Amino acid sequence: MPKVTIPVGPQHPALKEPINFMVSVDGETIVDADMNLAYSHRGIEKLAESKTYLQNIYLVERICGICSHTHTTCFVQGVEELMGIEVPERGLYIRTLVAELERIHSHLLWTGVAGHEIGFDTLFMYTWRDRELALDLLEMITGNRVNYGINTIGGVRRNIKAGMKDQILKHIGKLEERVQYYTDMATTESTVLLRAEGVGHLPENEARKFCAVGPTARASNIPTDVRKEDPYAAYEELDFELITSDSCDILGRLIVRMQEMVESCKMARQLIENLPSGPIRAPMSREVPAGEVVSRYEAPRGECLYYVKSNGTFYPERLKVRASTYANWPAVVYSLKGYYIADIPLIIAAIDPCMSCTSRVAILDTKDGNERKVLDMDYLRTYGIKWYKEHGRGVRRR
Amino acid sequence: MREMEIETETGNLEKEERIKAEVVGKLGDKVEKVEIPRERRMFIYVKRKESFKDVVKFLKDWLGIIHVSAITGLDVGDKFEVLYHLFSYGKEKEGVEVTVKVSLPKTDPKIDSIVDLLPGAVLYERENHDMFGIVPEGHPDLRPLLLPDDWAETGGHPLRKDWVEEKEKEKEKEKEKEGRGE
Amino acid sequence: MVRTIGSMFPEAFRHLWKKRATVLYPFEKLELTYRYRGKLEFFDERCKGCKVCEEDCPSFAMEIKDEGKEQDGKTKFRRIYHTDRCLFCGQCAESCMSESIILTKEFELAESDKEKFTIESTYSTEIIAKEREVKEDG
Ligand code: SF4
Ligand code: SF4
Repeated sequence: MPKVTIPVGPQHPALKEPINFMVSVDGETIVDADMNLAYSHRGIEKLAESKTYLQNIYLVERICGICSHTHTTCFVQGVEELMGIEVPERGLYIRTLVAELERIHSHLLWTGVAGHEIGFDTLFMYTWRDRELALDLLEMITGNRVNYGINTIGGVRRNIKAGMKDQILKHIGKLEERVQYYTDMATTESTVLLRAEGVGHLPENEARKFCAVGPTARASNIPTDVRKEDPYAAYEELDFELITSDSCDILGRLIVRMQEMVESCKMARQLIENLPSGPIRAPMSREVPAGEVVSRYEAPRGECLYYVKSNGTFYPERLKVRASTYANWPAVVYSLKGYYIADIPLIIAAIDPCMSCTSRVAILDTKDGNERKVLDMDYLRTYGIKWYKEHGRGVRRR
Repeated sequence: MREMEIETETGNLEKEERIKAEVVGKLGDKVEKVEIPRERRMFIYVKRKESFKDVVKFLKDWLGIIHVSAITGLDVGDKFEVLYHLFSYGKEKEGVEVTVKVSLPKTDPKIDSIVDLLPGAVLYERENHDMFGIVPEGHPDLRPLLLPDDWAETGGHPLRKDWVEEKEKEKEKEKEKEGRGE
Repeated sequence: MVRTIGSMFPEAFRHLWKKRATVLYPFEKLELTYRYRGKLEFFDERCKGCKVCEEDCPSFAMEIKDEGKEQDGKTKFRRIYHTDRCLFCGQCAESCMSESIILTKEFELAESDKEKFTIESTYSTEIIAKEREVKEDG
């Protein structure tokens, strides 16, 4: 029987982000899958080489809007290690608190998206409403809802005032209650179970083979978590459990994320209650001694790795970023096989993908001949203005 | 961070030292040196690129290090360096991030692919192929991954230090022309 | 495992009589925290012309131009601030030793005219101190 290949994406395959899957199907069943990444590659690693360390904090923060704290923490941790700075305890605690709140908001967002993918929009609406609780806290502590800008080399930039503690504890209490409700609900509700149970199976040995990370790996019964394996910031002093599930399917990933939120609430509570006093940041210099460092961080989506090489100047020699979604793609391709076309969005969404990279150039076939031309932004802009002048009605400047 | 550093100083590096002893003992001449910058971090410098795969194989078979976190390419002037960030999975406070470092000459940037040993490396090797032109020999599929599918052969490898953007090149050419005209 | 269906109905019904969770934006506005990082405001008379803000800005949004000496010995400076490039990180305000930059809560910055994104001011100041350290406590 001839195989049929259908493209899924790059427009909106699961989330509203660009990635393309070429899926070969036999009837309704997927037999093979291939993917095309980087519709939005932004060249951040190259750009980082021309910015100072301080500027790079804000650059890496913009790699991802949802786990922006991940990237800055991972980066500054590496730079601090290079410079030999000791971050004050209080700074580490605030950093960790923001990280855990970020995890809660990211997982709640994912739960909503997963609900939306399976057509359960009530879940989507309610989780996103409750996510605001976490976002309000983040806004109160850092000033912004996303891209918090709280990390700096040597510590954090904003302190937690005494009056904030009650507010934080109150919101965390509410969040705990809501998260518990969603956990109970999602694991018994048929609407979820029918779509998630047994779908996107990723056995343990395959997950190990494809180097899956984060909740995807933990749902395949691999007890991996950078917070436990390689404690950073204040995690060594916290009491929390590593959640795994042996169901290896989407339901497992859902349960792992749900229970992780419960753990995160617990951690946030511990952090606030034991918040040490003292300064929040150590003084830093702008020059970083030569050296190289590998920094790891457990993002909401899994392990995030930074490699920083400095050459003793203000600018890094090389900054390598391996964000967590990237590590999970081979596992997704594997777990697509054997399921129905209708399951594609959910299986893709189950790793909580985040395609944050943008292409800078567009390539165009010129009319005569096969010559290809690289168009840069300036050209596209002038072209766009010209086009609208010629074709646009009503698109006039006031 | 404070405690970590103090621990390092007091020498709580048992597992790292153990791995180091094994690596040096079993692989001897293949390894140039082993560095332990701090707890749970290790750099293994491989002497020659031909023997690099043996090192990875040894780490996999003897020490159970099967997780590829990332592969970093580096342009260090006259040669490339490739860093394989490997990790031993799922052991609480036991994991060690082992970075295996290999240098390649710029004239012949070829290295054995480790995809057959560690299939998780498949995307990272393709990425380095795009960005640095480092060819993993034996890799099943080397289509462009991060670069556009129709990135010209002459487009070069963006993360090399001597790479210049197309636009910049044109500007330079124009400048040259102007210079000559005057 | 117990299976139920429609387990969110009670939750949804309960909310029929509750207040809406969103606000009707242009008419109602949420209260922003005092830590919000919005449009910058400058106190040029405090500026010492050290240009640290320009150096630390990650997006080239701030330019401090040296316009030469004036008759009374002061140096003239021109500050060009591009709101369209600014990413409101607040690094300039943090790096500035003389506290001549503060962040306001103003966030409605859309304009239909590109020129309005550039804010310029000129001022003259006495000292040019090149202070390169960051404040210890933020
Ligand atoms: S807020 Fe940030 S981006 Fe804006 S001018 Fe200041 S340093 Fe630059
Ligand atoms: S950092 Fe402050 S004092 Fe220095 S030039 Fe900028 S505004 Fe003026």
